[in-house]
Amino acid sequence: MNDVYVIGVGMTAFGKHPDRTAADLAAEAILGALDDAGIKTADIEAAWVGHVYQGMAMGQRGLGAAGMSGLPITNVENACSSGSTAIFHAATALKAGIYDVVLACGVELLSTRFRGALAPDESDIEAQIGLTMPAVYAMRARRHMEQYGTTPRMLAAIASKNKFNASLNPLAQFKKPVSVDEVLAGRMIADPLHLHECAPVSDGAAAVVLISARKLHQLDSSRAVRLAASELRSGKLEVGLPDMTIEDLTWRTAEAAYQQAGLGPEDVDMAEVHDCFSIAEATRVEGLKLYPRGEYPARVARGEANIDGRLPVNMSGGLLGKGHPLGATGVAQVIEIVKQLRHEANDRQVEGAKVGLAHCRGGKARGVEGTACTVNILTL
Amino acid sequence: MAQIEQRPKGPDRYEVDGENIYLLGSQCSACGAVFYPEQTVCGRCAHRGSKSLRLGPEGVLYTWTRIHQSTSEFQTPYMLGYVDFPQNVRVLVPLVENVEPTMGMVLKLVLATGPKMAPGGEPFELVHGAPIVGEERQA
Repeated sequence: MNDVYVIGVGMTAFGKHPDRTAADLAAEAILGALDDAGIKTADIEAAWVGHVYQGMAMGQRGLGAAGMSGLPITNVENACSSGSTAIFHAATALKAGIYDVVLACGVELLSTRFRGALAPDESDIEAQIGLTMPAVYAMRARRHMEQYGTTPRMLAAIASKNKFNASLNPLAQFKKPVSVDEVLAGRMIADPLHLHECAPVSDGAAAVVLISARKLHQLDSSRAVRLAASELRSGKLEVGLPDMTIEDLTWRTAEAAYQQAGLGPEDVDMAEVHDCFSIAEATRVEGLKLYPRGEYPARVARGEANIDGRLPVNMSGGLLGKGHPLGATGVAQVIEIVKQLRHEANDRQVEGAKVGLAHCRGGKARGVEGTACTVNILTL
Repeated sequence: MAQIEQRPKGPDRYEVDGENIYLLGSQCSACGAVFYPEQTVCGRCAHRGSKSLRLGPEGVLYTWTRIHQSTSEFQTPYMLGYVDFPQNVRVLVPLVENVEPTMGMVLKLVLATGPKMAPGGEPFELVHGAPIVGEERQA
């Protein structure tokens, strides 16, 4: 298999952009990634574009707005992991030796389409009786509290940490830190989760240029970051009465990625993790085996996951702070790790980090623990 | 035998048998795995073929939430919970509003209207979990 590198990254500011089109947002991210890579549009041999709610031919519209057409373009829908699934497929094509320079993009314009809570597809039997995404995670939170002694204050500390990190990120949706007390004073969305513990409705786009090792040797490679592993798995149909605090899907994906990279959880210096809700960061970080099961919220409350902590999580502000334009999220996570490894993260810089992990999973369908999960591991 | 009524449509699948309400799931004819709603091809062993299986009429509350913000179709607040049935399967049901839920609480299946639909929407009857006060089991 050929080695894969990230050579260019670009993203829009995340937030509310109701006056723009999804194609325009995608084009900004794509052109930013090409400029960062120092390559031309004609150098891109194939593209994958992830989104959830943007309708037919999003990729063709977005690349078209960036002046690109005629190349193989594949649209990818995989719930909140759509963008990182685009990266997975782009990386897989490079590994197979089919192409040498490819583009993966994620985009979402949600603010003009959604108010209130996201829910599973309307055909889903649980959605039909009122299940929402916040409710899914609220029920997981209650189990975590029951089994491990996690408190609402500890969960609020996760949200507060990520809002603080976002305040250091010029592209984040939220600009102001939010204290633990302010999180707890927020209105309840799904008991026990408060407003600041739930990812916002967001618009934005993010793109990366991936390149094969053989092609990289012909270019200036000083800012390239190695994509040491890119894995995708789906949730298994659940049988019996599984423990809802354990993320089997996250672990199966991570285990494959660790193996591909020849690394283990102990080698990871920092992580961007799919914190669509405060509790989600906890069960994911524990599922990745970066922190012991049941202990993560208490350790966040002690500062261990801060940017200057033992093992920083969601330096970018995460979904809670940076925002969550569904299709763009998985790509933006990888971009944060790339910026960190290039030492270009400014106020958010984690010192001395050599290995970063990006975890993205999302969606809900009845009978499975989760729908799609990706783990990307990047190294210097 | 009491009259058995099978609901023809709607999101949930259930039977009324005298005083008792049962959700209708299925059991794999080969490995015995239980699913709700019914699943013809087994999610565990891939065997094609299952038989109908009644779930209930009682179960244990595994976890729950009160939803304060929902999609445009539902009026808030309302409660949902996952109930573990003795048939070894977990099902999401709305919870009746009169008792504050506790983890491990024993619930009996009842018919009730709701969660309430938004104005203009048609409310429908669903199988709910109703606490049997004073009974608790380890979830």
